[in-house]
Amino acid sequence: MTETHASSSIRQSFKQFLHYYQASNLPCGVIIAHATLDQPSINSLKAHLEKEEPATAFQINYDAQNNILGLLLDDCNLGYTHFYALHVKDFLDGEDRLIGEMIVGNFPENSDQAEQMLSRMINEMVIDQRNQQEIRVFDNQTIKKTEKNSVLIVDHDTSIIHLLGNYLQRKGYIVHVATDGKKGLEQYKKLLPDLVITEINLSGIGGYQFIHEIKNIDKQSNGHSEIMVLTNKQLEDDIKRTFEYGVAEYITKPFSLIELEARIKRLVEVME
Amino acid sequence: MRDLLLAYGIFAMYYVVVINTIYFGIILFSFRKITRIMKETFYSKYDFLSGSKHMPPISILVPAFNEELTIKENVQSLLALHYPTHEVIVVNDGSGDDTSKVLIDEFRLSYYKPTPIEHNTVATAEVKGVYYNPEFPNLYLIDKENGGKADSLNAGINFSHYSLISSIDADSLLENDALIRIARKYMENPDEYVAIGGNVRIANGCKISNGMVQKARLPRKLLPMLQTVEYLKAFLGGRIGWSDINGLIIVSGAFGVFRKDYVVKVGGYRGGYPGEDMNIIIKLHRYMLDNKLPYKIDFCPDAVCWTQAPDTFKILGSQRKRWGRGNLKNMMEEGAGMFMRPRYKIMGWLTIPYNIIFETLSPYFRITGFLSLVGYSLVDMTGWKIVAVFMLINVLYGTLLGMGSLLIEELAFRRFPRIRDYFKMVFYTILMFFGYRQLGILWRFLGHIDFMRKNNSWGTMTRTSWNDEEKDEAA
Amino acid sequence: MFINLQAAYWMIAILLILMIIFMSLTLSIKMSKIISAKKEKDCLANFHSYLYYLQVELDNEAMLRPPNKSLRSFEKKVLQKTLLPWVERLKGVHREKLLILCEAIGLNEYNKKRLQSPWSIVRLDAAYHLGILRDKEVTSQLISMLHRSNFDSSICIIARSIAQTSEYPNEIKNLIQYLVNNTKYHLHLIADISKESSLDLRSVYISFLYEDHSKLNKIGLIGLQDQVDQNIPETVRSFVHSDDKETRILAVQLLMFAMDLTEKDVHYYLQFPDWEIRNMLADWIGYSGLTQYTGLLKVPIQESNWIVSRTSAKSLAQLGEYGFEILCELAAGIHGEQGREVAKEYIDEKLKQTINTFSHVDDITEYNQKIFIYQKFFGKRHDLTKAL
Repeated sequence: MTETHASSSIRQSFKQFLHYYQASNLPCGVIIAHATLDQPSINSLKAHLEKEEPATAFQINYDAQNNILGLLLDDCNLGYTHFYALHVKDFLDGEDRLIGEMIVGNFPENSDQAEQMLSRMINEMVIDQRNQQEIRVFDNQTIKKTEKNSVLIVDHDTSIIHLLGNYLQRKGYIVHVATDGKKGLEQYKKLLPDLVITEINLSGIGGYQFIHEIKNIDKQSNGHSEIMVLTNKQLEDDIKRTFEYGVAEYITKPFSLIELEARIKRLVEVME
Repeated sequence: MRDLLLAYGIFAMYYVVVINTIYFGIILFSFRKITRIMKETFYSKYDFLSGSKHMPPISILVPAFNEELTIKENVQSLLALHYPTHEVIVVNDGSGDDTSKVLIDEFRLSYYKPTPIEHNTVATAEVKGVYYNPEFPNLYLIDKENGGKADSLNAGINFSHYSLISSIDADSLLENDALIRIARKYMENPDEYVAIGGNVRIANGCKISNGMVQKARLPRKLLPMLQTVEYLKAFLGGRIGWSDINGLIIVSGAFGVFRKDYVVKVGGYRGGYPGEDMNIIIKLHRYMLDNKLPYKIDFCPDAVCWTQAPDTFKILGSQRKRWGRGNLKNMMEEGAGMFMRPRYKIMGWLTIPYNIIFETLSPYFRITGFLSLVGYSLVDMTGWKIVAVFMLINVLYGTLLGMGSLLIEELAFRRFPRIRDYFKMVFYTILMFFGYRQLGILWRFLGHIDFMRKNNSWGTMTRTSWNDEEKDEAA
Repeated sequence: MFINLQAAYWMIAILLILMIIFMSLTLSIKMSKIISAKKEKDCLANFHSYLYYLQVELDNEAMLRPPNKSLRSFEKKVLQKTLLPWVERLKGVHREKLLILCEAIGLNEYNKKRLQSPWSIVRLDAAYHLGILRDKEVTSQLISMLHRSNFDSSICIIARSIAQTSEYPNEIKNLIQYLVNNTKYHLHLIADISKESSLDLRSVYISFLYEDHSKLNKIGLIGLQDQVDQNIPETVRSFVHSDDKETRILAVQLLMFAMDLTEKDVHYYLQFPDWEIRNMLADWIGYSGLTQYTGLLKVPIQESNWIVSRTSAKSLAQLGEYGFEILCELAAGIHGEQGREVAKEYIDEKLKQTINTFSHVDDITEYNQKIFIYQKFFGKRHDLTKAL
């Protein structure tokens, strides 16, 4: 693989450790942050972290040239790494040091190539230069964007949109959302996603009319999207009617994310 | 002569003070009920209920007369209501415009012959046909000869499949959860609830798109703004209180849910006169009390229906004249028989007397009282102070009632959270006493005159499309 | 005469004072709500990274950790407002994970404290949230709260919380009995409340069938409809002959859902005195595609109750060739005038529908078959064939 790597002192200093974790197949967490720091503040960050999470051993390195702070956490999973990053962010926010985003990664959860993962994380940070001061999880883009499946979620309930949207994004789908039937249709026409997940209790136009219109669009454009209903409606009549409309799956709320994803996978595989 | 004029004028003033005092008592009942309403509003899981197998199916009846501009969006939003099982029955009352055609085209409905009517239902004008499309299994369009709004509702009742019916004006927009909120209330006491009314709010000025009120805003025009505060006072201050003592005399025709069996038992809606919404409620009270059945007629303020208020004097006048005429008819036909009769309890002792003395007859007292005061002032200026003090009391009292309603609104509903909206509403509450109220009384009086002359048309109510409203808003 | 100006001035003063009170109350509520909305927004902004962490790591094996600082009760309230809707919408491992997190954040403790508040609305709020939190320790407290509470909507809210938190079917049983005896609730509402419980309530519902109380019988019949296990106790059949119409309907419905009906039964119920039951059966045959009973629908389609008649016609139209043939027979008037119109209507509808969905070869053969049957009865000339 040929990739240009932004040179960074962090890569040099973590190289051996990463090598070691990879060789001995031990998990480790990596956090990088776009921040301006000096030696005293690095020291007080160290002290802060030792106080807050005394049980975790970590390595710290600051690349003054690129303004990147790097942290390497010993023997921990992604969940904990992300949580640990919140501590780091608290500190940086408090001192007003953060100037861009933070990226969190974990070996082996995010990538089975520890060193490569770090390089890419740094690369993304140097090249993208995102300004919003948020934490994001490293997305190992071995799958090209065009090969990802796209999903349109239509629901008036923002909790559902947040939960499901983030979950599916993590699982490698491209997620679009709409909060009512009319907006859903506009989105659909524009995007022609592979899968639509919709509530029946929509506003603007009802769920049935929404599904009906989608089928019409499909007919005209010769396209095809699978439709999955995720709804509060528990009635047999609705299940029957949606299947008559050509809906592939019917799931009622409250729902299990695992079951939902399994069904999505099946649908998407059938399509391919 | 001079003294007599003054005496009568003062009597009329006392009359108004008494009205206000009774109204104030009613508002106190509203306050008593408001914590219950808040609990219901905040802690019922409407999202989940709206998909539950256990909620009763409801037939929504939409009488439509010349509604081609708004009917499509309305039906779409009614079909999209968040409710487990409901059917929408549009009854085209021999419209002269394309009301039927708009729906037939939009939903690709096809014609069916009307089904023969069962015995125990209500007689109506001839039904020409039923339109239906199996792809939209919960939408029906009934096409019938013109017979008035009541007649259309009756035709809808005859056709409806379910045992709860909901009457809805074709020009109003229901909030998505309006039906489920009323149904939940009904489920708490299905044996006793015979009718539950929804809250009607004025949609003028609101941001409306896709058949939904997206953002509640106060109207910018004078008349709709005055009606907004008027409705707030009547619905929140008045109806919550009246319902607390089971003395509600009206469930708005714009949105209410009824037990079909009792509506049929009292003979359905009465045609020929406006005010069929008040009529049916009085008849229900009467039937239940005559038969000594325990019952409740309630008001559900969190189930909201937005309606377009008339914004010209001409249309508002014709609406108010119709109300006056209907009210007079109801009081003569039903009210008189219940007046001060012990068997009719709250209705007989309070609601009906209040309505006859302080609503129906109010134009006579107020107009003559006003004239005698004017006459008195012309003859003698020395009594001006008394007159002024009384007028001030009336204005203050009225404003206080308006402010009480605004407090209820703030406690439980908060549709207009901005502080400047509050002051605007208070201002218009005061403004109401300078012209608008007097005009309303005059219209009511003119309505009575119409009644005497037996003028019984539906009355014109020109509507603009919701989309126009939207464009106005954008402009 | 009639008037005392002094009294009038007093009146004005009182009115003005009341106006000031109303206005200051309204404005102070308004202000405090505006301020707390702003505070909430700021607070959520502070938690933004944290909430993102929760959403992203929800699926990770690792446990979710509470925020790394101690929380004030306002912050707890804000988190509660965000997290509990998630809990309500999810089930399975993810919900469990969120519940553990809520406990760790201290939401259970926070609400338990509020359960002791002197304000009834605060207690109700706490009860509501403890229900969602599935806090097993508060069930008995909630039960005594239920017994003390005296108005309908609170009872409903507390009852849901009890159903959510209780670990013992017997508690739910008592709850249902309490609701049946002390409220005027619709039985379906009580059934809906008891469905909040994640316990297996089958034995509770079955025990209700043996009670000498028709409302409990009905709740038993309603509850059993949702049970996966389809073995229906024999006693259900005795309810079919109950004096109470609703009970009869529920009993037949249960037998129907459990598919516990023989052909003889179906025949019997299609001629049952209650039209609701006839209608239900006619609908069910078409809807479930039970072709073996197609012939039985010949009777109900001809009856005078138009709802049953139409339902039967609709079902026949769904039941393939044989169903269609029966519709044609009826429309041709072989069995007399009853049901003729409605049969015609559904034939038209069916043919139109088949034309519209003409995309597969199967549809064409299906259509041809229909036309063939149709022509057997009506010959070739007809406006419908023209319409083609």
